[in-house]
Amino acid sequence: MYRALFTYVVAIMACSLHVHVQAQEIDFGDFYNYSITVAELNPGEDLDFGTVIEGGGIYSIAISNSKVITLTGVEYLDVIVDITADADLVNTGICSGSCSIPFTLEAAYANLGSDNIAQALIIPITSNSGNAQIPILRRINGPAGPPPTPVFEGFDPSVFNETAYLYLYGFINVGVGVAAGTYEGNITVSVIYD
Amino acid sequence: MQSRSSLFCFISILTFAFGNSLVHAQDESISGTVNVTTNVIQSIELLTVQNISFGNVQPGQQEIYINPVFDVNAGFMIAIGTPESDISITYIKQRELTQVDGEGILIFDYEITGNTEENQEASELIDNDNRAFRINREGRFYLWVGGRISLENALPGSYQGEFTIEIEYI
Repeated sequence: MYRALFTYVVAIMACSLHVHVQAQEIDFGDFYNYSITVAELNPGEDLDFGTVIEGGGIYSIAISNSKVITLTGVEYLDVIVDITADADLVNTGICSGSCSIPFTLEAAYANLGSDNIAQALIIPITSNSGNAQIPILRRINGPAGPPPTPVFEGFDPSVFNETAYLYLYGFINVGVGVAAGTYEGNITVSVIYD
Repeated sequence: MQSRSSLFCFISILTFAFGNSLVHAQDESISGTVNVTTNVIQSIELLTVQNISFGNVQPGQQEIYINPVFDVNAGFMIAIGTPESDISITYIKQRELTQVDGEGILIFDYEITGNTEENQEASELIDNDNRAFRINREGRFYLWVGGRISLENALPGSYQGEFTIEIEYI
C-alpha cells in the first residue's frame, strides 16, 4: 500500500517538474513587501571626468574614484540590479561639428557590509548595459541556510537591513575635433528584489 | 518514520502546485539616475603674427625700448583656445640675447600686454601677478610683445634669444 502511494506521488512530482522547471529557485523577496532604498553615498556629485582637452583621447575614472550607490535592504535577500548608460555624452550647449563623446561604463559591487573596493566584484557590462543578482549581504559561508523568519504581525524586516555598495566608473574617449563645452549623459540603475 | 516520509512528499506536492500562482508582493523596481559629466576645452594654440622689429641701432644709442602698447614694431601674437574660458599668462621677464658670431650678451627685459580685442592701444600690461584673463567669444586672446634692451658695452653684431610664454586654462 505504501509502495503504491509513493509511486503515485513521484508520478505527480515528475509531471509538475515538467511544467514548473523554474520552481527549483525560491525567491524569498516575493513573499512580503520588503522595502529597499537606493541612494547616493555622496549626494549631488556626478560621475565627473572634469576638464579634458579636445583630442586628448582616453580619460578614465578608476573604481577608487567611482560614483558610489548604496543599496539598503534585507540582508538575506537577493536583489537584481540593472544598469544602463548612454553610449555618448552629449554637448549641452549650442554646438556644431562633433558634439558627442563616447562613454564606456564599468561597474562593480561590494556586499560584505562595508564600502570597500578591495571587496568589490565586477559586474559584466556589454554595450553600456549589464545586470547582476546580488545578495545584499554576501553569504560567505556558502549557500543560504534555512528560510528566513516568516512574516508575522509586528514583523520588522528592517531589523535585518544591510547595505551593499554599487560602484560606477568607466572612461570617455575625447576625439580630435570635439567641440568645446559641457557634456552630459546618464546612468540608470534599477533594483528589485529577486 | 514512514509517516514522516509521507508528510514530506505531500508538502512537496503542494509547493509545486502553488508555485505557479504566487503573488509577487514586491513587483516594482526602484530606479535612480546618475549624471555623467565632463567639460571639453580646446588646446591653446599660439600664433606669431609679427616678430619684434628693432630696426637699426644708431651709433651711441644706449637703449632700445619697444613699447608693447603703442609701438608698431612690437611683436604680435594670438592665443587661440576655448571661447570664454579663463586663462593665466606667465612669462620669463628677463632673458639673455647672445651674439650670433661672438660672445656678446644683451639683457632683454620683456613687456607683454594683452587684450580680448585686437586693439593694441587698449591692451593691458601682463605682469605675472597670476591675474586671470579671458579668451573672447571667438576663442582668441591678443598679445603684444615689447621690451627694453640696454646697449651699454654691447658689441656690434647680430643677437638672438628665446622668449617663453606660458598660457594655461584656470
